[in-house]
Amino acid sequence: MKKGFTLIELLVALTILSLFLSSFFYLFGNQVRATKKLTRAITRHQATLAVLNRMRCDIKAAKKTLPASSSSRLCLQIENDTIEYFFSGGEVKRKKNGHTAPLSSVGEISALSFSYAGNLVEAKINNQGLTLSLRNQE
Amino acid sequence: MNKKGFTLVELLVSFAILMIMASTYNYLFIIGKTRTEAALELSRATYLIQSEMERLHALPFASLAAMPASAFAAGKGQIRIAPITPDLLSLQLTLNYSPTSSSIKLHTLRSSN
Repeated sequence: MKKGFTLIELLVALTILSLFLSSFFYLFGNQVRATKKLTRAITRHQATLAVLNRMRCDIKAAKKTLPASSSSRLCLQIENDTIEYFFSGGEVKRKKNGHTAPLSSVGEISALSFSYAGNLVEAKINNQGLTLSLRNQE
Repeated sequence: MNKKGFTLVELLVSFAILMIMASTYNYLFIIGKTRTEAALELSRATYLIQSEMERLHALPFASLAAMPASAFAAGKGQIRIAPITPDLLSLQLTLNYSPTSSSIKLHTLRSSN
């Protein structure tokens, strides 16, 4: 008559269970790492989109880019306001008539550059670019 | 025979069931990751195709009308411009993007004034 497990049976069962659990936790660990990496990529992407969308509004409303514009700084004239975009201290900053406000947090955006061709402005953030044209040119 | 506990075979069967359930869970994780990656790429592709459309928008009507079918974004994108009437053009952009080899299309009209 059986009354339960023998020691051998218990050991075999535990060995199989531990083999299974170690492979499961290995896979689970991989997934967690991959998810964290993807989350970082998405956070950066969202920050990029937020800044690009802000720029889109300004560039479309702008009459002209000011001569102070360079590959690291975008200066726009909108009505009677002067708006500048630049990258400093790990943040993208927008300066309107002397008042500066950050558009991103430190670590989200690593590079910002501009290039110009005619009435087109290309803004490049973290290797993602958006080209926009100035609509209200006189 | 009077059984009072599990047998080894019963225990192994229960492990097998547990394993199947756990692998389903793992599979869901992988699907979630794939879909999120696809959404990220779609969002990037949208910006790329918008940029190209914006570049075309800045060109004068005459040079758009004379433009042959061409490529952008290192050959992953196609520009097709067809006249509808003499003063109206159909602009069609197609962009193929990884990793799921999907494509995105943007279609708009441009008039001469």
